[in-house]
Amino acid sequence: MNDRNDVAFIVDDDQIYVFGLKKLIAINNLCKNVLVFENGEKAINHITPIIKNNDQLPDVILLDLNMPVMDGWEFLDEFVKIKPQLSKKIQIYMVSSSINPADIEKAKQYEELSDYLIKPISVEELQRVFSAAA
Amino acid sequence: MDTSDSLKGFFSIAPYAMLAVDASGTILFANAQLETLFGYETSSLTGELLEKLVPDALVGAHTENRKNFMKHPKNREMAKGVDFMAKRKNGETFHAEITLSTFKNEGETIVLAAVRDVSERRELYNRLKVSNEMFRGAFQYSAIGMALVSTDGKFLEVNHNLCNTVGYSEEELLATDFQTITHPDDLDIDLDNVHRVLRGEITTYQIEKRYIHKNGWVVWVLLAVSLVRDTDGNPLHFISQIEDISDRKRTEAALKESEQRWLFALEGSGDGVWDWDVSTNKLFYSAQWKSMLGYEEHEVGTTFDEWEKRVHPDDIEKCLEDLSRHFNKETSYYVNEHRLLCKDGTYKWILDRGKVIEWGDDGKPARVIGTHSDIALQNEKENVVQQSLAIISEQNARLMNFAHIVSHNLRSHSGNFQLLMNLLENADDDDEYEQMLNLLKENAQSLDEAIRHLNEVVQIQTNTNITRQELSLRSFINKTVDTLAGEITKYNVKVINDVAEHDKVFYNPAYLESVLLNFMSNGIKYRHPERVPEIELTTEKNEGKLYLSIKDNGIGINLEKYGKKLFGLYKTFHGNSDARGVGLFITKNQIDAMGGSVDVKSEPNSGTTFKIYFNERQK
Repeated sequence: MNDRNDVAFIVDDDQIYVFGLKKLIAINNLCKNVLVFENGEKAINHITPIIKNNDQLPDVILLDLNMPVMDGWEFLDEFVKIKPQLSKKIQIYMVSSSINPADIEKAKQYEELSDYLIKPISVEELQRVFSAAA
Repeated sequence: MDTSDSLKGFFSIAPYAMLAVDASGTILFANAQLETLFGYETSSLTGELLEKLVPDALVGAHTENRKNFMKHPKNREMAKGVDFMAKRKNGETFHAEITLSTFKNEGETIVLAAVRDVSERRELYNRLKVSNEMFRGAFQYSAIGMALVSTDGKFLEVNHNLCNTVGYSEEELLATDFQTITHPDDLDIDLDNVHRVLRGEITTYQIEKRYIHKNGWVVWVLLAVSLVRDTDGNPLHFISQIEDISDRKRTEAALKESEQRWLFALEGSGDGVWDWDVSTNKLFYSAQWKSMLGYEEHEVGTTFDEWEKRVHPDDIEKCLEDLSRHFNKETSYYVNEHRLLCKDGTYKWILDRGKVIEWGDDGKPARVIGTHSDIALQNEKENVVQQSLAIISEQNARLMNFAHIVSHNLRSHSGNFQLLMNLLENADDDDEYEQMLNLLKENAQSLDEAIRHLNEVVQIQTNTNITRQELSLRSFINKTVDTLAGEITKYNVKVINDVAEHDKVFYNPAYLESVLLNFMSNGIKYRHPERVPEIELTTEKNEGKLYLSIKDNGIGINLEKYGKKLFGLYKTFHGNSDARGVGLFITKNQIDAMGGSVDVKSEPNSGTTFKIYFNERQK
């Protein structure tokens, strides 16, 4: 991978999944810096102070749907509010175990979302995600 | 004294007009009475021929008769007097009755005649004769039956029509009395009327009664009776007019039977029937109509008001409007759903349908009939179906949701298994390999737990036949406080149980325990760090329904954010490490399964109140 992404956020409360995903990214050399947030609120709280700091902002966010405190949808709602202040293009992927059609349909209404991916995410999909963001 | 002188003397005082003629028909003398009767002056008839007193046309015949008489003269008694036509001096003729007697005077036959004017009597007689004939004709050939009946009931005269009506011949009837051929059930009323007429209380009477026909069947008649009295007022006989009304009676009976039949048919269908005679404002209400409202047959009258006063005040206006719309012919029939007051004070929903079946000459309704159906019954059935549908739909939605939850949870675990298994061979070192194995183990445990939770939910949702009993809310709360004693002591929680001893719920004991435990432990778990934790339990009644409020002074929930998914599975809102997001989901399912509902009020930092409505069967 020549054009490696510098920063990726994983927003997910499933620690086992997070462990595996990080390992997968490392093995495939997809991203230099991977930050993990266990719910949406923590991710938003991290982004808000560095909103003008493009180096620290992620190229890709892998966002879980079901999380305590602030779930994936709520994170998106908050993200929409701060988006006008962003000068960097951030690709957000919803990554969930839910194959509920209602969730997939709802995801289509967020133009901020690049895609809806179903767990477990494959290496190929992961490579596609990061190459698109590069 | 000369014979003729003594005759003249006798003549002058006789009550009749008299004259004497000789054998040649010459008037020897006439008394003043005769001369007055015939219009002649005194003594002017003496010496005249007898034929002067006879109308011109009859003179010839009279002369002949007189000559024949003189050949064999004889007396003709007064009672056997013969009518003659006589002529007055002015030419006027009149009916006269003449009596003759003859005697010999010195060898000469002399005839004495007494003459009486019978014109008036004859006229009277003729009139009577005509009148009698008219009566006879009317009697015999009357279109209805007629009879003269003696005061003790014997038939004196009967006409053809009566004979035809009762099937007896004239002779047979004249040999019997009306009592014999009258239907036994109608005899008393007839005799009663007869006696009242005889006593002079009434002059006539008219009744419908039955005779027994000679062939045994019943003949219905309309009988009109009047009494004929003599000039002294003594009863002579009755005149009876008898009209055969069997046909009318049969039609009436058939009509009644047909009405009875539809009434029976309608009542049999469970509907009540009403029949309104608008002109008299009489309303017939069928037995079913009354029993539908819980009334006995005799407890409801026959007026419009009996219905009107029972209609629910909110419904009456529309009812009357619908009625008048039909009366104005805007609608082809009247139909209205309204509530009617039952005997027990409750209201019943009625489907009321009616139609004008007779219109008066004034274009207004004369008779209206209709039916009452108990739509509570129909509605009840419909409601049951609707409820079943709602339950099934909700169940279905819940199952769909549950399927997605199951799918999600199983997939997330299986995904993790897959992920870790694939990564095992890429482990950097033994430590990482060991870590991955531990994660696999952790994942397995977590999966097991998830399956247990799902199983618990399945139990609640599929168990439709859970036992319920009457439970004291207060003692179950106390029991929960005992269960939570460890935590309550540890966090110094103040529990206020304000629920009265008599507040009972009809519930499954395990569910009630679980519901109370979940809400109360929730209150402890999410206590506010700066306050002494407090949980207050109170009940209230609203529209007869019992509500339990469980209020805490904890950290609260942002309902704007989380309200919708408060009771979802695996939803936690506080980032609390021991929050599993299972409790409220299961609690909600248990409350639903018991037929109740739960409502939540909360504000971040000020506390949460859960308000539980258990179900309909509670005190």
